[in-house]
Amino acid sequence: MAKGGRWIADFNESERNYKLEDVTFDACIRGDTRIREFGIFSRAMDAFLLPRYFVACYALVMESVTTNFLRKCLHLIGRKSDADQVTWNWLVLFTQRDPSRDVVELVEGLEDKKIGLLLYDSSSGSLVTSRNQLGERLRSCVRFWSKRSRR
Amino acid sequence: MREILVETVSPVKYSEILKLFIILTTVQIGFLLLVPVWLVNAVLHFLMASIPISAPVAYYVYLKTRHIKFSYDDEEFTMRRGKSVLTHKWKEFSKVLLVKVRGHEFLIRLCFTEGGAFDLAASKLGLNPFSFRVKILKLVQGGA
Repeated sequence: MAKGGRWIADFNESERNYKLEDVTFDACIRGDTRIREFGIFSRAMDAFLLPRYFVACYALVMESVTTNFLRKCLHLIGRKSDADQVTWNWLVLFTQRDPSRDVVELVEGLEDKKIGLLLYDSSSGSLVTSRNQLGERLRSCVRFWSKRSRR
Repeated sequence: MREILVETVSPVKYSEILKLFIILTTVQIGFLLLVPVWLVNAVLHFLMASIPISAPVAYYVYLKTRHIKFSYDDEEFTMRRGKSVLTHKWKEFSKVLLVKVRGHEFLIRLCFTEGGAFDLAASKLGLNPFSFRVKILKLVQGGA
């Protein structure tokens, strides 16, 4: 949302300690793919070319992640996305331990096209993303952020 | 003993005063157009007088109708805009959202437990919306 990044959507609402049933995400940001700029060209592009997709990104910091917990998160996000008609969802998990092989397989084998999943292990710096389009897109954005943060 | 935190924010928005000043001056000039022909010589004097009249009047109108004064402690907050006064307790709210309105303008949306929301124009109050959201979140969670 701040200091550059690649434009994916206009995230205009953020909430900390966001609760989805019994899971509390550290942050949830929501928005849509509309451009809110004053330029005539931007307005025209927004009205005629860009679709209005609602988007949401969930972030969670935890010690380690298990397959059961991940499945639960994906299930809750999927249900919330259907209820709120959110087209694209991202789940970003920051862990402090290397994810197990089962977790990595679950992330990489994610077939839901509505959810992009990213798992970042801060101890080793390893990054695992889902192989769908949203996951790959997220990976490219995180690379970009990392480059900036090294400066 | 409970620690009471009281803070008041009431920035003077000079752009609002300028807007009112322009409106008032334009209205006065508009009236001068209706002045009969034989009083044309007096028009310049009226015109010169309109500026010093408009400035304090604009400031007075701003204070009475548009000036925002926001004060809060660890139990409740009060928002005054002109003559209207609104008070809410932090415990009435269950959620705190940070909402980007346009450009770099942010507001803090406080969601009532029973439904509905109250928008706090953080940018217009001259507050840092990010740190203020964290502060409010603590107050709301503390009040719940």
